[in-house]
Amino acid sequence: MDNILSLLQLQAGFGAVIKIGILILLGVYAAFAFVVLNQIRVMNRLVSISLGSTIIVVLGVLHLLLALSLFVLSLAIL
Amino acid sequence: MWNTSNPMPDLFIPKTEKAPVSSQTSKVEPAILKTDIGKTFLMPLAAFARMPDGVHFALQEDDETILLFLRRHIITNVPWIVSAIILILFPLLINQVLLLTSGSPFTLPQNLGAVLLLFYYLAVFAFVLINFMTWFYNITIVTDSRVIDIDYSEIVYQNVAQTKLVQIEDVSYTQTGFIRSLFDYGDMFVQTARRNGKHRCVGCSASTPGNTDCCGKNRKGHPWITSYLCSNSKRDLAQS
Repeated sequence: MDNILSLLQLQAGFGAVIKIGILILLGVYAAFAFVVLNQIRVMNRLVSISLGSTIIVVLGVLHLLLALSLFVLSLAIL
Repeated sequence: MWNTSNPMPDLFIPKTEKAPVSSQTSKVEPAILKTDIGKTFLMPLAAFARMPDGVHFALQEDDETILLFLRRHIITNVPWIVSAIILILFPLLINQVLLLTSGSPFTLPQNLGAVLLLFYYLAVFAFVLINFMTWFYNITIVTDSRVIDIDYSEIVYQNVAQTKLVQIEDVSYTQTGFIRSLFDYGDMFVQTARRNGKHRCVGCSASTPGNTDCCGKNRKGHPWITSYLCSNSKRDLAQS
């Protein structure tokens, strides 16, 4: 009985470690997405190409929103 | 008898406005401006454009005209696009293989698997975005007074180099290989007067269909670019 309980505790601890690890990974990834968006803004200040600049900004914002959404989703379901 | 209706013309008329010195020394009068080629709307994925409309860069002077806009040919994006397609299909292929065989040797909780799969596809999206940005922001701009070379790579690396047309010493281009010949693009090198000063436009489009040069004849883009840069730099050097 004690063995089973300790095994369950070990599994729960292992699951928590994985969950925290994934959350840290997704947090770092969200920061990376923010850096990418910031670089897009910097490059657009350097050279502005009418329609193309708008499209790439939209892609950068979408990337950041998806990263943040995944972080929130993993907080909720993991 | 003086004819009052036709007075003697003035022999000397003082100039009231003086042309700016900078335009006399550094600006050239490119042949492209003498033609009736108007400004062209730059398509988002264009790799070659003459006098593009809607393009501006930092530190552009008010009277500075962009004559050429150069970027790597769009066909040079094929390797990373193929990689992205393989990466997109990879989980589906793995899933099919596992269904055909006895199944996965290890199992993940359903929620964890979903989060990891979403994260994987987000990383693939980032891969596509960064490669697209690397192509999109690697630009060479030729204005009526200078050449601006913008390099961008590895997300946070950016390098901007500019050279006045008078400082250009040599312009050369190479076009080697079957693919480059087929899609008509190559590498252009602009050697400047500085030590180790060199602009590169790797994978530049040689020409785009329907483009005509200032003489109205169809020509390849690279000879046109090189002859334009060389002739204007030599002429400008002679004037200065």
